[in-house]
Amino acid sequence: MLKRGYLGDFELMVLLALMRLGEDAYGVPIAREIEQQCGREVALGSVYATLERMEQKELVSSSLGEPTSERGGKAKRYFRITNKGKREVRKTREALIKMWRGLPELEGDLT
Amino acid sequence: MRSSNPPALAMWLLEHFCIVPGKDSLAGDLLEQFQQGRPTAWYWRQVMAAIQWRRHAAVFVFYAGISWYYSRLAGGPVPMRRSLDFIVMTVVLWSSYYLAQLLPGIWRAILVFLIICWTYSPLFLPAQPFFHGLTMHYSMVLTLVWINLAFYRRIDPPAYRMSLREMWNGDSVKQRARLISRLEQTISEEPDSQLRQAYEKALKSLRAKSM
Repeated sequence: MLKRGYLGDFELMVLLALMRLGEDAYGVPIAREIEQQCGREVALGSVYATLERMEQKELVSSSLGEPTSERGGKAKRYFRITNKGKREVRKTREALIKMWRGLPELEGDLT
Repeated sequence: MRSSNPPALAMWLLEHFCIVPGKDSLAGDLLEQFQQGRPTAWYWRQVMAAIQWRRHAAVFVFYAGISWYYSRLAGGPVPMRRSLDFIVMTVVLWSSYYLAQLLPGIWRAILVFLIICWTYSPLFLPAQPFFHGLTMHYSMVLTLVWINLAFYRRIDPPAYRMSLREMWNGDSVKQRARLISRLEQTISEEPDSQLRQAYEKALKSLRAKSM
């Protein structure tokens, strides 16, 4: 259980990016996905810090890939969302939708 | 024309000052992106974000604040200019914060012992009026220095709660980090999937202990 009730906005974005990417989710594609979908430049360091924090909360799991020469012999670290992570995403989504409902200014934007 | 390698200074800063967990993978990602044509300015921006200068700046501001306050308060027997006092104190305190990270435990313990003897013990306190006055003048700063050296521990990952014995040995954090790094390399080179799984399990438990 998270100490704080719901996921933060960047945590949510990273988890959603993980879900969209599936198996091929490591630092670069995750940052690119957020950049493409949200239109903001993302620091890879922030992505890793967030992922590490979420791994400690067991919202994501990681495994190391093969090191390649174009990466200077450094291995890729692949991330996957866990079932607990998916539950938290769903919980946050439901909470946000409840907050959105009943706001006439935003009624048309929900779909 | 753009070099095929990222700026050496940026790489050095990333290697030594980055406090982001899993910085090897991060360095690999940045290099991969740079090789694929990202501009040098982008690389620098990413490194600066990973280094988290705000945290280092916050430490500096904290010690500068203490130094400023103390340099206003302390008159002391040695007449010194307040601005010089302020600079000396800030530099000494700020350095001690990083020194605590660099020195092995045994050297930190020796240094703490010497500072405590020098500052508080009448036996070691210098008899010469100038040095005696200087020691008295900076006693507060020396106290903060030894507290830093004695109690500060690396928060650079993998940080973990150390036992007293490990604190005494001092380099166990480095050993743990080295072990994790070697294990990561072994996993990436291991062709047997069953062995890889076993190594990953060991790595996970090692990381869990590091939290």
